[in-house]
Amino acid sequence: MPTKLRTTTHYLFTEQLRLLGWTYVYLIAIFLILPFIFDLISGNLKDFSLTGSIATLGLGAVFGLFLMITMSLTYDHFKLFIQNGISRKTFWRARILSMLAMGLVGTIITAIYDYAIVVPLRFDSIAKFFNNGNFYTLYIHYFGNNLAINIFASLIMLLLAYILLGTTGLAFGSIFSLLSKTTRRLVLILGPILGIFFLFFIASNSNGHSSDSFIWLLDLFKFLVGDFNNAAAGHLNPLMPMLTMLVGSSIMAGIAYFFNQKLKVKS
Amino acid sequence: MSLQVKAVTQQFHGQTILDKLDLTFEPHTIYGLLGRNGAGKSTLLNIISNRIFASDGTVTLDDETLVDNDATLGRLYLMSEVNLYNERTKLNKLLTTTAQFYGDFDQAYAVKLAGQFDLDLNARFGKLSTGYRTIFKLIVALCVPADYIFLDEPVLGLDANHRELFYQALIDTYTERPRTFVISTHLIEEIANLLENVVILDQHKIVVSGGVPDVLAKAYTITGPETDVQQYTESLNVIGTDHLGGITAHYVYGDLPDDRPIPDTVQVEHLDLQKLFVNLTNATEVAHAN
Repeated sequence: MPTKLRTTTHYLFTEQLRLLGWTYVYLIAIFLILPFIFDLISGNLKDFSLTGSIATLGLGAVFGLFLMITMSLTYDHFKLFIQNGISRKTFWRARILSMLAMGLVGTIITAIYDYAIVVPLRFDSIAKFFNNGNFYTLYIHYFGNNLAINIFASLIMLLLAYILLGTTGLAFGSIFSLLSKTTRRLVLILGPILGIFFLFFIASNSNGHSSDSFIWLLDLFKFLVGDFNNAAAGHLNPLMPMLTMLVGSSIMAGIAYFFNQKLKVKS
Repeated sequence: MSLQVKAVTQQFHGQTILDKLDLTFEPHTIYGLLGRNGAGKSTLLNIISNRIFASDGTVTLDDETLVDNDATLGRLYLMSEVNLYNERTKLNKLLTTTAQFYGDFDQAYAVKLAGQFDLDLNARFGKLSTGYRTIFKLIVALCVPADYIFLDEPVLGLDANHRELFYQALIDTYTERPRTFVISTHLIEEIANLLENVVILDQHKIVVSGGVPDVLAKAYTITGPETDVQQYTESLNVIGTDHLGGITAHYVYGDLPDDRPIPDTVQVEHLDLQKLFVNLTNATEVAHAN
């Protein structure tokens, strides 16, 4: 690996690790320590469950959100790197590499959290954990009942989901860095509103009463998540969402590269 | 071995900022990049350092492109007026980061200069005044192991004492390790003695480029009674005029004719760099205004 790529990747990776540490510190402070203090002050300490609070912290979901947000932070890094003679291409490559490394870190953290903390505290067994609302519930029977294979497959899916979130953050961050402050604010305000409106529009048109025009969208979604021929829950094909996430990540990485190459210093 | 700017054009919203610029920066030379506000100096430096893209033209370092090229970008450093450092980051950390990316960063000299400038390296960049931000950026610029250092407004916000300190540090570091410095500033008189070469940008074009002694050798003040001065400077490149009482001064840029005798009433002297700059850039303004 070229020296500059290694240095840039190392810089981004260590910075993200530091930020992740702080994120978890805040998470623990807000969802563990503050409720404890409130219950202590209000005299309801018997209502406070330390194990319950720890088991519902949702470190995995928080990590996904963290990765997407930190990967979208583009311009500040671009400024620093171009000041230090780092090209846009190296910057993009380093972001991809650090994102992959962080995805792996997140998968390991989530695995440790799920199997060493959540399962013993909330479920009697890993099988019950998989059968009670975990994302892998939909696919649990596809590879048979071998627990090791299912754990491995679920972790691969999780890693791919993190990578998709990371590359999505990269793509949006690169696009946003090219916009002016006013346009950025407009997009941030109007984007979610239009998105919600669009979802309602689809929902109202796909309930079979008014029109079938969006049924194809629902069918496409089912296909992408591995639901062929209305398979029963637990029997969906996990390879399909894996492929979907892999292709989606590649597209997002491509979009990020395209806009990354257009980054320039704002005066 | 040189940094070459070839036919660089920059247009923005239909306005021409730089118009087919051709320029060469040789190694181990101190250049002055002079121009009035809006002449395109900062734009040129930003294009050279690949911070923005030129509409047309190329910039190469030893025949290798500077666009998206780590090898060439790592050989130059632009200290710009725009702050590109994170405001929350401490100066110590910024020095370490610079050292990580540039390698061979002269940390000891950076600490020494920080001491001379009374700069607290534990402070956060965002907490510094304009002057101290400039000082920090100057320190980095003087300590990076790059071959080409571009300084855009290097004395912005600096008091006279700090400016003197900077000029001295520049001479010291250049003597110890010669490399190319390109200094873009409005304080021409202060840096005139440091410069070996000068580039003057006006109306988005290069109007003068060359060694300072050569350029000044062709810059004259012709003073005397108006009719005599006018007679002598007829058909010469008069870039400006002044009148004081009965005395007229014509500023000429170009070779004086050998076959034209200088009248006894007329005095010929050389211009200094600032006076030449003012008249050259004023002349164009008048020409354009007409």
